[in-house]
Amino acid sequence: MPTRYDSLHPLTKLTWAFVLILATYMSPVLWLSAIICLAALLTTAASAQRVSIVRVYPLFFMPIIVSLLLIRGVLLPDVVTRPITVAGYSVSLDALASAGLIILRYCTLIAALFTVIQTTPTTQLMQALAERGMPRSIEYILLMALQIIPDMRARAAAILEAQQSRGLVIKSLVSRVRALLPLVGPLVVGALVDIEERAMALELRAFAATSQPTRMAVIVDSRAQQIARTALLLCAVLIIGLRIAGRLPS
Amino acid sequence: MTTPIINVNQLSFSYRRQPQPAIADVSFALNPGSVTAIIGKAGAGKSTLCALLAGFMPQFFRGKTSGSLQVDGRDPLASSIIEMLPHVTMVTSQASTQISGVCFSVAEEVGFALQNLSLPIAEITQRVQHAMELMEITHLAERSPFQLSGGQQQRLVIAAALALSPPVLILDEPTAQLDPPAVAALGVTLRNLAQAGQTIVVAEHHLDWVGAYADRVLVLRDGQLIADDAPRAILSDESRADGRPYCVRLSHYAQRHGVWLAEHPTAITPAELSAGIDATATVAEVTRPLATAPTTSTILDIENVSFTYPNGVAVLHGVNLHIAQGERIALLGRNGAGKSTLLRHFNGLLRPQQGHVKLLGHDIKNTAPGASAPHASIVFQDVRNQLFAATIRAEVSFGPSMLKLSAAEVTRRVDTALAICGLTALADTHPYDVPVAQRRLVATAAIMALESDLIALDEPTAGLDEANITQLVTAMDHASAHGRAVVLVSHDLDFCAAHTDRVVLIQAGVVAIDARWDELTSAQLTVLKQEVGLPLGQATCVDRAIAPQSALARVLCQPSALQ
Repeated sequence: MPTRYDSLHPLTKLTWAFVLILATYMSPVLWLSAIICLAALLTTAASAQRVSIVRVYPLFFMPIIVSLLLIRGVLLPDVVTRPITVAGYSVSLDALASAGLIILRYCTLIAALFTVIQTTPTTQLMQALAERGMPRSIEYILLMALQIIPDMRARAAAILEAQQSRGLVIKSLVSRVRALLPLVGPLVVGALVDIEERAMALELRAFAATSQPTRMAVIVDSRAQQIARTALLLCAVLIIGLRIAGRLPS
Repeated sequence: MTTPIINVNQLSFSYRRQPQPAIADVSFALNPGSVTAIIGKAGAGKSTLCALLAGFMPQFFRGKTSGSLQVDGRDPLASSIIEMLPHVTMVTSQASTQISGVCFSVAEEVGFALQNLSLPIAEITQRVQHAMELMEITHLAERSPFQLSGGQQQRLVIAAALALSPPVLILDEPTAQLDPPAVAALGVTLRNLAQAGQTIVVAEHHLDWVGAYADRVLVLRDGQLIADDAPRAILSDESRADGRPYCVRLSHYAQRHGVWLAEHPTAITPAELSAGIDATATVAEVTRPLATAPTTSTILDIENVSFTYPNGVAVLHGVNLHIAQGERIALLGRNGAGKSTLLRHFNGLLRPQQGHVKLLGHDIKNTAPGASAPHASIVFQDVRNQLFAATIRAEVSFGPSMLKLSAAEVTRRVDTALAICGLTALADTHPYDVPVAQRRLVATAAIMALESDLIALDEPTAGLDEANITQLVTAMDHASAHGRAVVLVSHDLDFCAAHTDRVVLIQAGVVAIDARWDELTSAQLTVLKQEVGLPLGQATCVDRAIAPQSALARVLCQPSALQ
């Protein structure tokens, strides 16, 4: 069952995510970044897909948390100020705080964007942007970029199978180097051939038509949401202004 | 008198930097509401003529054009594709590249052009639904176009063209990846569209399909129109058709063997073939000759193999299959039945969750797929995934050079493979500089050069003309003569019946039938017919209630009847 957040206009969700991301990158202090990150996580919690979204967060978050804490806290002893000893290692509270700030920014970025992407059908997002004047060519490039990844992955797997079926064995470094051409060659040649044929396909599907295309979905907007988006954008301007003026809490 | 919808007058076209014209002085006119087939050998100019009619020149293919051309009152040579779209649309032969790449579902893809043409939502919805129903892809409506099989993608791109409902519809090799029931359904759909007034032009190698559904045939040879006549006049005359439909072969065979009713003309459709057979004829007992002598030396043992993909789709359920040295096997099944999954177990590309796969008695569960190549190798359907080298010789050399053979042995194997696939003269040509049909032979030669004990060919005849099919048979015969097993995964049932000894039907992940062609029982023929259709000989016997083990059935189902 879609929640109120899910039913928001794609641009409202996108603007909210943009303001959260901007705010966290402008924030110079840990506690403020933590509040912003919490807001991003609460946004996730407000969606109907919260369980499936939260389930993948550890995959995104854990590598960056572990690596940043290790690099900043342990492996860069030169930046040690306010040192403490943990399990025999000298670490710096300031370095950990710095790492924490980066982690919070990263987590906010991921949570804010991933929630928008997971709760908004891509075609609706593109339609919303196109209705605000985004050129069709940009819409095509964005949609194509999203589609091409699974397509290329499937093609790469098929190429690997085809070459293994005629004796290609990948074990040592030398064999990996030797495998490069038979694996990459068909991928590149195939992509180049596809470009021309896909251009023909697009022509045959009237992509070059100059009239406004019919949009299959009706994206509901409201006066309240329009006001909210304007307010959020003003907030973004305010945050940038405060940062430039050095008036954000430190 | 009906006004022609297509008028071609002394049309010639030469591709840039090509001395020979691809189309030379071609003239014809087509009336609306007809199905016209363009036939001819690979490279005869069929696709070029289709592209000219659809307005692809000069927008996509530059070259020198002369003569005149009118399609639905417009000149394609002086119009852009978008200007021609209300008059004509075309489906090219490679379905996967005809997908727009911007739609996330099949239904969106079918309606994409209609959206771009600003049609009302209600009309788009109705047209999309109708087109999906015609091509039997309604159940795939929400699937990503990129997650479909080759046959499903072909249905999708045809559906997208049908949704446009153009006065002229051009289809280049539309049956190449379709299974037999879908091929027949497409024929019926196109006939219905023609009856409703649309003009259909189809470039096609599948001559039996042409005989059954076209009402006019144009034959191209080296870019020239050498014949323009009714299907019967052309298809029953090999010198005009540049090929022989299986129906014609079988009816000539029946005439030679005295089992043809004299008052019936040579058959060009399965229905005519069935009607022409003298079911009361008395014939001498014959046995079906085997493509290769039987042997007991097993190459591949598939024992109780089950396989489930990571997404939870269980495909194989306890499959048992044993393939002996020199055997010729047709592996048949509907799309999604598990043929490709089973094929990938032959050389360890997939590992069974249950059961064992043994090559020459050794379990290959710990063997890298590439290391199995001396014993089992596969030519996949999309040969673009294989070709990468600068010359055909280098392409064919790749496999043997992976096997750490001596240079002399690599040369010997490559020369042999090139010779049996008819590619010796093209050895120094780039693989992408030969026609698409010959690229398939290049991929086949590359596998033949491995001299594996078992060679699996996935849809080897797709898009091949008769000359290339003959070359493929030569390569298969060479492999068999050297004791290699050949497994064909193909929708071309007549080719399978003519060139294999044993048929294995995969149905819902299990081996439903595993028998020699001449040992199939009535019950097995019924199952085979329901699942994938029947070769012409067997189909005729079922139609005319000729018992499968009778002397007449054995005569009609001889491999030589289709060769």
